Amino acid sequence: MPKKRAPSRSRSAKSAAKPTGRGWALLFKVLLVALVLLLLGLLYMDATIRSRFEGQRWAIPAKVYARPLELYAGKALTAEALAIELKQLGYQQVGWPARPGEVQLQPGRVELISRGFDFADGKEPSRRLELRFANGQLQQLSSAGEALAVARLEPVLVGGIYPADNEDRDLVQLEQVPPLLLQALVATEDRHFYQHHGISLRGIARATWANLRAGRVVQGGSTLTQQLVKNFFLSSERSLLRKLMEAPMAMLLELHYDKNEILQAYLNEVYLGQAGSRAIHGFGLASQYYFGRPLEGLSVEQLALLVGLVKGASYYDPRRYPERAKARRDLVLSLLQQSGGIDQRAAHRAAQQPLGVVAKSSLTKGAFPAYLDLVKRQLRRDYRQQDLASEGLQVFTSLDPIVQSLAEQSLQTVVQRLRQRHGAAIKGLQGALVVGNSQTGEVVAVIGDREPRFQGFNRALDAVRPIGSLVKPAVYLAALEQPQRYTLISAIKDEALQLQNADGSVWSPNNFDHQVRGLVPLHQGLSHSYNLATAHLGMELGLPAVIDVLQRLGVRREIAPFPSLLLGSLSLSPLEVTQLYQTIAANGFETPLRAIRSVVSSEGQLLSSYPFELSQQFSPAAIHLLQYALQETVHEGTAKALYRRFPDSLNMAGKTGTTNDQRDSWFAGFTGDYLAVAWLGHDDNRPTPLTGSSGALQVWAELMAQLQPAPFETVAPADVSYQWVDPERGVLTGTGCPDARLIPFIVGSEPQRFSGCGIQGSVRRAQSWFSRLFAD
Amino acid sequence: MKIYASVQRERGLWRAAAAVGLLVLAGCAGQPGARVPVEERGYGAATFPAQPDAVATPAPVPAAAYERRPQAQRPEVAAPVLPAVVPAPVVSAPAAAGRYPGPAPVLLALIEQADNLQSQGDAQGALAQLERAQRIAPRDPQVYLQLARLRLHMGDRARAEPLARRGLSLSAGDPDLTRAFKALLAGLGR
Repeated sequence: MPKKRAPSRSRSAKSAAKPTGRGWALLFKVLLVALVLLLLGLLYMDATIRSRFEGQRWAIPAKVYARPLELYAGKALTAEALAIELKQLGYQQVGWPARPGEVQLQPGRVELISRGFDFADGKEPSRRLELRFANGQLQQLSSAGEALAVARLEPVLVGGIYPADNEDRDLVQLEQVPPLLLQALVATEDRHFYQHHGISLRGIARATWANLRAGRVVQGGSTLTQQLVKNFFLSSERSLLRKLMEAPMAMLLELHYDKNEILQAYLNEVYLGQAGSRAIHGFGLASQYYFGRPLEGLSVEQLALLVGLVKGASYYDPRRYPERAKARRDLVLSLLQQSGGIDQRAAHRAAQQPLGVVAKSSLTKGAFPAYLDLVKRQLRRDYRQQDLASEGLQVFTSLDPIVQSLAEQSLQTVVQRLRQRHGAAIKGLQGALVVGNSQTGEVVAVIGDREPRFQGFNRALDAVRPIGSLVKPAVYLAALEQPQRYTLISAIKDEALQLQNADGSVWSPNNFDHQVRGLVPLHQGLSHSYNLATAHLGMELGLPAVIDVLQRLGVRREIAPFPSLLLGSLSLSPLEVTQLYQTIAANGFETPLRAIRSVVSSEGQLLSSYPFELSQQFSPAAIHLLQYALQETVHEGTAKALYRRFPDSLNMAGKTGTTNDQRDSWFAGFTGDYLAVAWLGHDDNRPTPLTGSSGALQVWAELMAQLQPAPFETVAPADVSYQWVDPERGVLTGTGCPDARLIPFIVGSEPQRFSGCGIQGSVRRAQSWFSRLFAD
Repeated sequence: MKIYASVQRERGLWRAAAAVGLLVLAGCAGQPGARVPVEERGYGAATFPAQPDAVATPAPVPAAAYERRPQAQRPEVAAPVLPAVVPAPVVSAPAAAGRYPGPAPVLLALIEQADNLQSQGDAQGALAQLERAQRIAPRDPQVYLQLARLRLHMGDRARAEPLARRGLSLSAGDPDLTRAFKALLAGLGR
């Protein structure tokens, strides 16, 4: 290294510096060597500067976006839900929206100016949007008086993937930057920026004079170029060597690059704030961080505030020290006025304005850690961590911030309610919740802890727990796939039986209520979650058939072929359970769950897309019959608590799950648009006082009450016919007979025997939900 | 005048060499300027957790009527109240299969946009618009018809087929749509 060798040579030069002929010659030689070394040093600095400046200058973290909110007439959306979204987007409420990012909220009517966004599939313009709401719907969407078929809001930025040094920035191009910002910056930091060649002797002289007068350091003499060099190429420690290198490097920089290039680099490099561990660099990100809008949209006093922060972002932090920040801002304004950037009136008016800094968005602090965790894991399969943290990738996800917020509230509300009822027995109770679109397989919300902000063990993905009765639909589906053998009214034995465990021991399961019913119709075995009937059915079918169905439903984990599987010894995470029920909700078409829609490069180029994929795994007829039984579960089975709370027309379908000693409380269910899986339990596997119905089901119900879901409307496939039957005797009956039910059959598997209404056999329940079908 | 940085950063000259390395890395994901083919991440890559290829089971797909229009009125959900009264059980019967009334205006707008992009040779752009439509109305058979046709146009028969089957399962009661899907599946040799 030249710097190391140079001092040792100069030491030898000193000792040899005697005025003799040989001495002069030696001195000359030494000076020559020093000159060569100096030149080498300069060349090295030069190479450093050029490679750093022209190479990739900054590591730009990947940005992770939520789904953009699609607006169109007929969309199920309330003005209140829109307000949640707009708040997360940092829209400001005003009386009359005049600039992008402003909104006027009125009951039933919202007017805003969107900011526009460059999506992977095209540019969404910034425009004025008028929205009218009624009956839980967006009724009308128009722009400047003209009806609009569809518009997208910009997506909420929900997080980033940061490099090790936690630097974050939004790159800006010089042309995007308001000229007043540049003027204010030059007037404040380096008045002769456009005249000097990297260092300013006048500046140094002026600073020295000012410091002498004040008796302390009040001014620095660094030019913008020197400041850039310091931050860009040199370490932050103060040393003489650094000081010595700063000036020649600044001059070299000026030699190679014009003022505009240097200024642009400066605008993106300068440190302007700190958000937790994340360092805010550059004016682009600072504008978003302090004002929630892009640089182009800032007023003169806001620009002046940002320029003021250059001197010391923590000392002049407008959120912590508003008075200091205002004094500094007003100084910048007066310097700007002196330089002719604004007139006196404008400067005066600007100085009257409040700071206008937005509250720190809750989103800056890792708002949705469990969802981001899922996104990161999916990204890591296709991208390297270093690229994610440095290439400025844009990641578009299907996260729905509205659903996510409501899901968080629901889990917290229910856990609190349960705590009041059960006290110490559920101390430390944990929970997880996964919400997806029941048809497209997109994951819209994930909660991995009862404290949704907590960034730790992500139970939605990593709590792999026995699923209990959630496994039963697979057993019944395996049966319903064989219509010649099984229908929904097939009689299933509900008697005591002995099963062999993995270790060879024998085990006798019981029904939850410890009753033995002899024979039960197949649909009731599922809707009432009878363990004995399910175990008998599963043993009749054989474990391989059940395992095959589980795999086709989407279970990718190895499944141990033991009878205990039939009652839910299989352990899965809530996300895996979501996959399983997704296939049931989507009529037997398996769609892999997705959190990411696309990844776009910093230049806006689509790098990868994760398209909608599906594969048919089951006949829609068999799934239709299964859905019938799962709807019955909600109507009269183990989940009928739901039925008391929601209108019948929602036709929800679902299944409760409870494991041995009530260690796990599960519920998986779906409506027309949402599929959600909730889990409650203790991390240390302690028993809880909760069943699936009294625990997880409550979370699910709370969420659905908030979401106002669409009804799950099934339509019978062509090879399914509905018949009035007496389910307990397995015969066809007349239409609407007192104890008859309308039950779907796969064509060809209907009962053949007919018996009129008159013959009444054993005592039956007076009413069944299906017999009332055509009652009115 | 200083640019303060509270985060300790080591920015020695040695990092200059690293900058050259970064240049190389920059080419890995960004590939500025070059028109790279978009990678469609399929099953194994996009799903979580790791999944081997799903085993498709060909099964006869009976027709079913489309299930829900995006503008369908949602039933009012009561505010969360603890259950006190047990209402009489009533359930709605499966809807009778009816004719497809045509796509909602929002879907029509997106389908038209997709058509335009496809005719300009931008199949990826068209796909993006149709997937937007599918997210808005995941049970609209017309959207599946467009998606299946686009996949076929892109030469992706493997993806076209299940889309057509799903669409067919949603278009019972509409002879025109049923015929269109059956013709598509016949063209796929299924």
